[in-house]
Amino acid sequence: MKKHHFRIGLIAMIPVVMFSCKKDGENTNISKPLTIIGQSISDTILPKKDASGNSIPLKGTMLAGKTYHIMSDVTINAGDTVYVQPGVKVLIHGDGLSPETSPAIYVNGTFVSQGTKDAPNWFTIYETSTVQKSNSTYKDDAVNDPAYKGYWGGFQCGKAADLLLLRWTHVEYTGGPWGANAADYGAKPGDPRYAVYMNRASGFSKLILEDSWFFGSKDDCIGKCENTYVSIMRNTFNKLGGQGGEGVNLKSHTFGDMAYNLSYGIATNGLKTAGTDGVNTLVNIYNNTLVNCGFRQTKATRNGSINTETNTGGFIYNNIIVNCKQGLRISYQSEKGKPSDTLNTSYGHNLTCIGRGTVMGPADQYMLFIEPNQFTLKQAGDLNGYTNGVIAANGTNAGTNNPNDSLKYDPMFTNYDVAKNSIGKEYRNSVIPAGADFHLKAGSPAIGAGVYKGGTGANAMPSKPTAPVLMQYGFPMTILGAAKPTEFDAVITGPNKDLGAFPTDNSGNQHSY
Amino acid sequence: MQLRSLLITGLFFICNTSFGQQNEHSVKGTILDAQSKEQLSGATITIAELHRNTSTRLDGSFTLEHINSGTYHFQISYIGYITIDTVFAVNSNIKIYILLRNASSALSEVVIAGRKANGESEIAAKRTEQNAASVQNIISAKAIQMSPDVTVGNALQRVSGVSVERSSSGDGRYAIIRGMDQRYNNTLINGVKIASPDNKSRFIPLDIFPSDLIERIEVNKTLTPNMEADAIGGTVNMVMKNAPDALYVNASASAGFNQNVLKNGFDQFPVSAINKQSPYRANGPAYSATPQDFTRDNLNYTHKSAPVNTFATLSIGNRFFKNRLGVMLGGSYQNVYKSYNTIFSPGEFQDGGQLYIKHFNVRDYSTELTRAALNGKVDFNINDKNKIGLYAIYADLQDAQARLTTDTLILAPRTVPGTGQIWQFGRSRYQHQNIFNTTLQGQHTIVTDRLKLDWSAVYSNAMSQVPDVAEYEYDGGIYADANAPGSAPYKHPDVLMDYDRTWWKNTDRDLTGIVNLSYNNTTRNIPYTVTVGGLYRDKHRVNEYDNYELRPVPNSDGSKQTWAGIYNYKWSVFNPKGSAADYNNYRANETIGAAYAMLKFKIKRLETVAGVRMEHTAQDYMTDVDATVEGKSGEKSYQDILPSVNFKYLLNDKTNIRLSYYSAIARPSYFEIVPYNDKAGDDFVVNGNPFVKHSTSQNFDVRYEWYAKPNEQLFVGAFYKKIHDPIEYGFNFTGFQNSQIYQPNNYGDAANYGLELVYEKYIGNFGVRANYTYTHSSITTTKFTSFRKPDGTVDKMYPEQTRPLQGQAPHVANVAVLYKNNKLGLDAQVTWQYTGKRIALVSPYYEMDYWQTGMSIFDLAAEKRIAKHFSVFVKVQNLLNAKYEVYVNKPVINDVRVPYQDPASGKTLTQRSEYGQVYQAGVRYIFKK
Repeated sequence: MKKHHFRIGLIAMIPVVMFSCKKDGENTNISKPLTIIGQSISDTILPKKDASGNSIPLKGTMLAGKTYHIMSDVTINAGDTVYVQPGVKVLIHGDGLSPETSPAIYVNGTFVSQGTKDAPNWFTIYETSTVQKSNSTYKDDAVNDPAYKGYWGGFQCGKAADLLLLRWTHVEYTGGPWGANAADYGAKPGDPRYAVYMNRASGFSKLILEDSWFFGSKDDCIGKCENTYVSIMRNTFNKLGGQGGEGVNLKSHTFGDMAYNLSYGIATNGLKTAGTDGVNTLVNIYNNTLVNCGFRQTKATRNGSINTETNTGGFIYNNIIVNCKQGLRISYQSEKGKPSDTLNTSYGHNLTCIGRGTVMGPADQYMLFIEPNQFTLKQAGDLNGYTNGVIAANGTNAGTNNPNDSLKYDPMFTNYDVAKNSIGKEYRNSVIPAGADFHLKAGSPAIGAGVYKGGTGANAMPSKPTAPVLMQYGFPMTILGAAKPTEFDAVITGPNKDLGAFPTDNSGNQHSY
Repeated sequence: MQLRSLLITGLFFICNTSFGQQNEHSVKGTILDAQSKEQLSGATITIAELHRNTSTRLDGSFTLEHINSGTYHFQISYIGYITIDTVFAVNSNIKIYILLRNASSALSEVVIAGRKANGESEIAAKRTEQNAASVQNIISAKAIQMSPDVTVGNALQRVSGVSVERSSSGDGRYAIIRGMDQRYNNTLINGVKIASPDNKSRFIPLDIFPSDLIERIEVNKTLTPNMEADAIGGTVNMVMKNAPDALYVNASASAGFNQNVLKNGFDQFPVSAINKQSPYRANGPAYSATPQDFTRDNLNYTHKSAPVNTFATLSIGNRFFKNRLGVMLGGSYQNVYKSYNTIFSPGEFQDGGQLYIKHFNVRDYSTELTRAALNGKVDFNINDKNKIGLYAIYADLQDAQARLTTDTLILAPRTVPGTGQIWQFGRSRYQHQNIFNTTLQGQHTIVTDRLKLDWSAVYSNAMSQVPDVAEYEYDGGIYADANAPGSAPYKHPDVLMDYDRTWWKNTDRDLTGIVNLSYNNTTRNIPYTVTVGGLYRDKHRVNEYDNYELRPVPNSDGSKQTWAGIYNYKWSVFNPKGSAADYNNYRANETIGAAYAMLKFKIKRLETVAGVRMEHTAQDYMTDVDATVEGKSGEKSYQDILPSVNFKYLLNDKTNIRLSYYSAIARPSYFEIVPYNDKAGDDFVVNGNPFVKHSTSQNFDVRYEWYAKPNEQLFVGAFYKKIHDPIEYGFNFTGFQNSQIYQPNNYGDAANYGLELVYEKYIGNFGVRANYTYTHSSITTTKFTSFRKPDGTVDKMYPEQTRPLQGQAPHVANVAVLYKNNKLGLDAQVTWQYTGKRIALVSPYYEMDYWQTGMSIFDLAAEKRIAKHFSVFVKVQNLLNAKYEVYVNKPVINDVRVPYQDPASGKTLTQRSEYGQVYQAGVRYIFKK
């Protein structure tokens, strides 16, 4: 593995102080030192140009409190690092109409955006009279909602990219079209760019997305990443994909965890893994909450919450799925995918709630607890209205969904009335209501329903001795974590005894809406 | 012209066959070629005083009965031969043998713009075969006119060792010569290579050429040093009609229909509604396309009942200024409607090398093909020593195709046959291709009988335009709701899907100069010819590509828009700026410089042509991708030294034995060396390969030719080809993880060998023409598969697989039975063409190649003279409605039964097309002075 340049910078750095400690209700907070890597970036109009007008690659530290303007494509060279201190606002000037007018950040080295809860960072669009931001009046308008306009090009991580770390960072309005360099990123000119794309030529890139907000994208948000170690934890994904596209779409040869994320109003799936023939992909997906996903996808037979297909596996536990097109799908053969890696898949303790009070007919988009004739079974600990059917020779299951089980599995969010938000076509509303709180009320069936470290009996951590590779990677995985994490390591939260992203012990997702 | 008929240049013999004293006698006879002694079929015998005439049968014989005693003027004429006007006294039954002399001199190996007025005849074709320096097969214009074939592509499959690759409308498009596909062959007009309208390769679609402007088609299976070397399989040379000796008119008009069109009708869309230019090309790069920029009329199909096919052709030729100036003009027009049905269910790979079917497509095609061609040929004798010629051809093909598809998803939610998710598609594709070729040639005798110079200056331009290919799509189906257990399957609403509008345009321009200098002499009684020459070609091609994605606008309540006809479809433009930066926007150049030296000499009965050719190739390309992308531009050059030797041993007057060796090359196509990147499937990426090398080959041929009787011939031949660095698609490491790309690569050596048999015989009014070719080829390439490891995880594998070359059938056979009755003025033939099992498509997956089953096609044609100069004809193609079927040799693993599949058979049907019978009837007018 290549030595990262930023590590050299770290030597000169004051040791990182651990996050605030909690002891007997006594809170002590001391200020954390700011990190500076390389030179400070004091120019706020980026990229800088050389004498002949060519863009100068970016490296160094973007300084706390500053607002930067990105006017055209910004490139970080292989081996270089850009470090963004907390409280930085980056405004991208773009309109999404052409590659030239939709700047992207090309990461060939390391990019770290180190926002904090109190001082988050922003990567958003520079508003003009024609380039406007979305607002809560756009509830279900894939055509006009600026959230899906794709004003800028996102973070495109090249063949040599080491690390993309976004912590407490807002990333908004991505998806501007690819241009002449599309082929370098496995795309074609005119294709939409994802908010994050990563695919390393040798070894693995690292993708750490923590406590961040991803809002508005034209197609996939975290799109088709391959050959990457991932830790995607405690984020909010909202209004992603106009008329198709996933919240997180991890492709072949990715390993890691996706946990404690809220996916709300995603066009297709909130969280998806899909490999290729002959390649292994293992991603654990646990303690996520997914609401109102899957209804803007125009293509039938696509799932709409959590989906695994084509040689992907992992531990999939403790998720809450509410009013999505379909619950968890471990795919057999679908229009898009091939069979999941069922041997290396272990799942259960997922809650799926359909809030509709009536059977949904042809005129409506119907919802399913579990799509039949795929591998998915109702497992021990699952809370949903599916009844397993006969398991066919190929392992698929022709079970039935009970349409009368509407609202039966209401997870009882603290401030989000599932019944109320199920009336009419509210299931298509992609706006997270102001003040919504997806923590669990007392009496919620999701409380204490999870598997967790230290859990016993039904709550014991799952084990699958027949799948040594799955067990070896572990649950959660520790690839990007560290016993004593520095600010460049993932902060991994293990599975909770409660289901969903907002467990009652407040150890999960820290966002409020 | 009057003068000519008075010349008596033939020889004749008469013998009395009876000595009866009756007043009426019979005159029987045979008309032969003075040189070859071939019987001339169709020669005319006229007794001027009696206004009686007849023509010779297939074996050259004729009979005139009831001739009163007397002395008469006999006029014996045959097109391309010098007419005999002579006097016979008929006082008893007589039998006469008349030798006609050919109007032109012997054909040279190099096809040049000389006067070869007779070149259209079959006899001439055979003589050319016999006299040629290389191994040749020829189809004459007469044979084409008599055959059911209306395009060069279809006519070619009558040649021994040639099979055709068909276009989507079922017409022969590319020739596969002895199992070598179009990559390994070249296409010439009058001996000179022409530009290609193909957007990526250098292939010439042979269905663009109407067969009726062609004097003959020559298929050369060996090369001499004066021929271009990129013909490992061989060359297809179309020789255009030459000016005749005297006024000549050949015109025909006919009409017909396709059985399928008659049965099912025809879906038509207005071609005029297609925007020929994309929004990007029409308005410039700054323009953002709006929904209004995309037309709708072109996706509106009108169902018509049985439109009629029309055909017209006209050739006029004459000579002026004391025969010094010859002019031949031709025009051809064909408007053909075809409709056909196809089922298409491609196999999908699943881990462990399993195959299943995901989509089952039923497609109805309606195609209107409009072919127009013009050609002109002018030759002028400046004096005895200097001739110049100019000829030009313009061939134009417009192909408007409507394709309506019903695609059923064979996977869930399909639970039982009759249910499933169903897509409906409507595609309009209009392609306009043309080839223009003009050549100025000169022949100069510098020293009489010794030193000759000829030269050609060629301009060739080809164009293809596929504007606004559009295929709308909506998705419904009949299946039960999974959330309503036990409910009946019902029709789901037809939800509109995203779709593309794509424009392609490419041009290909060649400038070629050719010079040949030959010296004749005799030393020690050995006649020899030394020829040296050279060629220079400059090629420039430009490709333009624009793609837009249109997405349906959801209804105001957020629900999905459903199909309510194309005029109610509300769409938005997903990428308003188009796709200008795509790899498909590229320019390419190629310059070829060649020089050769060739010696031809004859020692006793052995004729030898030996020599060497050098070809230098420089290829380059420039794409519109970003400068940061690897391979934005590139160039490659190489040089080949190509020796060859052809022996022809004249065992006796009737027998030749030929032995030849030559080396040849195949160049990668223009786009193959562009490192484009196309994520075609989930499993692999298809890439170009700038490092692919050109192929070289060593070729050996032996042929025994027996011209037993003037109208009987037997060829037995064998060939062996060793191809070094053949270009085939296979997997290669990218340096990107352990992932591989599917790209053109060089795969060691491939071998190709076979046997050929040709037989022709004519007895009285009957004739039979048959040929058979056995070919065996083998090549080894890497394929993809995967397997499960003991720990339960999967791994990729790239095993090697050996297979025949794509398109190569082990058995190819043709039989034609001919009938000719001059008395009735009737010509008829039935033909059978068989192409054995072969690979239609090489799959990137291990043991999943697509095999086409053997196919037998019967055709019928007949022509009957009805009045002076007039005849009527009928042609029926595909008499028995042969099916085109493609299989993969693996059973499907689908759980729900797939239509037309029988897993117990161990194989999977992936395509079946039925093209239907094609009928044509018309009138022909032939005038020859």
